[in-house]
Amino acid sequence: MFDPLADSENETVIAELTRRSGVNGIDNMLDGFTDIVTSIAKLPRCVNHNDFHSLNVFFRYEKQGPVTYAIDWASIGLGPVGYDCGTLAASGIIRSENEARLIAEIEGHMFTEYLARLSEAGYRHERDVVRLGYLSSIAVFITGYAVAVTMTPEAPAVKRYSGWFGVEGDEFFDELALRLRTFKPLFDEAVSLTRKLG
Amino acid sequence: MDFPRTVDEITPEWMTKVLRATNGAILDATVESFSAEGLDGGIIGDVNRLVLVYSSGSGAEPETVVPKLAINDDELRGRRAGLYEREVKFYDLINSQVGLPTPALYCTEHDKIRIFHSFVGRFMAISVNRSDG
Repeated sequence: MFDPLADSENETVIAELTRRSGVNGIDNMLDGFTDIVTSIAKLPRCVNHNDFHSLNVFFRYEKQGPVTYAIDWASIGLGPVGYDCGTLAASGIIRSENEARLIAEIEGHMFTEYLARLSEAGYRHERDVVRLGYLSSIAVFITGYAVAVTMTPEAPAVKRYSGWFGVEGDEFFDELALRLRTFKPLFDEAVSLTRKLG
Repeated sequence: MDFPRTVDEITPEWMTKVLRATNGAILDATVESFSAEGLDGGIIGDVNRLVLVYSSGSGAEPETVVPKLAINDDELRGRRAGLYEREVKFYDLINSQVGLPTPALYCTEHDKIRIFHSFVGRFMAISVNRSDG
């Protein structure tokens, strides 16, 4: 399944991924992703950490209560509003099965809380605008699922995903199928928002 | 400039001098030795955790520090120079406005040595900007 692939073989393996995942539209994800990238360029921007994954966030109890620390600010800069929260969620969906399952359960809550804190901070962006910025970060990794399946086992992206998932070979393929089934609706939501927001 | 480029170049004497000079991290204590453990520094940094041993002190001194050194590869370091500078500027210019706890800054010395202190005196990171060679 992971032999070097020609285009015709890519079609075969994507068809198999579609069959195993039960998810339609995998072959159109690249077009959808292009739409998302084009659309987020028009979103309002804010100062983002831009690398706000879970390994850059530390949580500990201190005398005054729970405190969350953030490190690694080398990528800070302007970016789409919502993007950092999306990266935090995305960093869970690409790691262990348990972490991905947790993110599937709580991502909606994460977004709601982020939106509420934005409002408290004085930002009055429409919910859909923030949601698209949030989903755009997640969409990168969901698209990566479909791209990874067309690559050889030696490809850096495949090694990275495989290492994060903790499985290889056909198990890795099945894990990609499972995660597409779980998270592709978020990708589809992002594509829908690009059309709605214009 | 006179500062460590790699973790092997960090000495107890240099560590003592830095800690004494940075917001009273240590007063009269002296770093006698340390052990180093490599951490995942991502694509831009060589990161280690140093466990410090003091020959004297009150017991309140930082137990560990985390030197965050620019990656020890000339080509990669050159390509990432903007990232080092960006992180340094974050701590200098906007850290206080972010509203999110970050490693507390012990001292800054632009284009030379950056030291970040975190986790209530138990964790510290030193970022050395090597872009100026």
